[in-house]
Amino acid sequence: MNPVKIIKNGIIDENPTFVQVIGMCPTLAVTSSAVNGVGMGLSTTAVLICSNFVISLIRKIIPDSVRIPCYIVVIASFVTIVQMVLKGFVPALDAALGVYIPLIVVNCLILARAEAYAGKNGPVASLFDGVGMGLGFTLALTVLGAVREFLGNGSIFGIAILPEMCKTLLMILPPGAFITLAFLMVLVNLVRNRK
Amino acid sequence: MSNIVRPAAILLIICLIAAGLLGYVNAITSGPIADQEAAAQAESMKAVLADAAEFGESEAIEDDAPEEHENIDITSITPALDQSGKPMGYAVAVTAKGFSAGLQLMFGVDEEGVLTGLSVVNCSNETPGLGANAANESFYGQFAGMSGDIAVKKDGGQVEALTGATITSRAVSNSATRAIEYVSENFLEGGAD
Repeated sequence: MNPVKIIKNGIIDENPTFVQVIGMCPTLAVTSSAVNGVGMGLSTTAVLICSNFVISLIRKIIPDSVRIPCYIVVIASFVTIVQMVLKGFVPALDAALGVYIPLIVVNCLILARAEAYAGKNGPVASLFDGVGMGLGFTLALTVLGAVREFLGNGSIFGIAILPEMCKTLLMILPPGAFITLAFLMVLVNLVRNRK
Repeated sequence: MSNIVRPAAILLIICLIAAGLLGYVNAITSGPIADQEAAAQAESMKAVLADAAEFGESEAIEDDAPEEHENIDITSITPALDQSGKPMGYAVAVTAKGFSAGLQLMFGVDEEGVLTGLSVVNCSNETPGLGANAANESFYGQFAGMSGDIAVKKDGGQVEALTGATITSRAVSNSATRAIEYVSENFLEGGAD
């Protein structure tokens, strides 16, 4: 087991968004600004690391036939606990990330990693897989959000760059998500094929 | 038989553990969550009625809104007192339907039926980058000092709407109108006007 290799695998070789193309619902829905991308990415990463670790720990006692319901129960419980703790004790963080947290339950990235990795590998390796995949997801969402925010609102991370007349509202609306994602994927594939 | 019973039993045990954990966390966090919500409410009341020295008891409202305002619910009204203890206005908590449900607003209305301020408590269900910009001061700041029927410029009113979010802007404007109307009818002497 090589932690660096596992993390690099998640960020580059098997990037969840650009290579595996999973978790598209939050990817398309919340990336209307760079800050949203970072927020969604980091909260997903936190839950992914926890759920990967716990599922890997209990993978031997879970019968094969009911593994999916077991994974879902673990993931949903984690998300709910994170949400309640944030609301009660860290209201500032809850105000910033609160919107994204319920969305994590329906993110198939987390279930896919439980099924493809944590259910078959040891807890420590699964933990690093969670870190790698989470960071890869965060990176993809941030880039997507930054491009859309730049073209649609003329700013990046809320800092205005383009003058008012250069804004293309379409880019922050849903079609902008599809268009940006498609162009980014073309770019990523061009670079990958050249190697 | 055992290959049905065993998985079911294990799933049951996992669910029981998860439910137990959730119950435990809920018991610990429900108090602080209620405190946080009360603090946020108090803070937004101060924001909309900056001159108030203290606030009276909040009164929960069962709002029976007229048809044109059926998407707007006034949830509570809190009287505000100035330093000499004289009533000086009301903090009106409103839940409205903007682009989606759950737009929470707090209005301050003075004894003359004029808005003293607006605080956007929660607009997280509105479209990020569009309707969610209602939380920017350049939008909500313009409501202070308005009275009577409040509407966006597109509808012949005085409110500068958010770019690409006319529905959210209309919902906020209509809520403002309704808040003033409700306070005038129920709390101010001489009824409406």
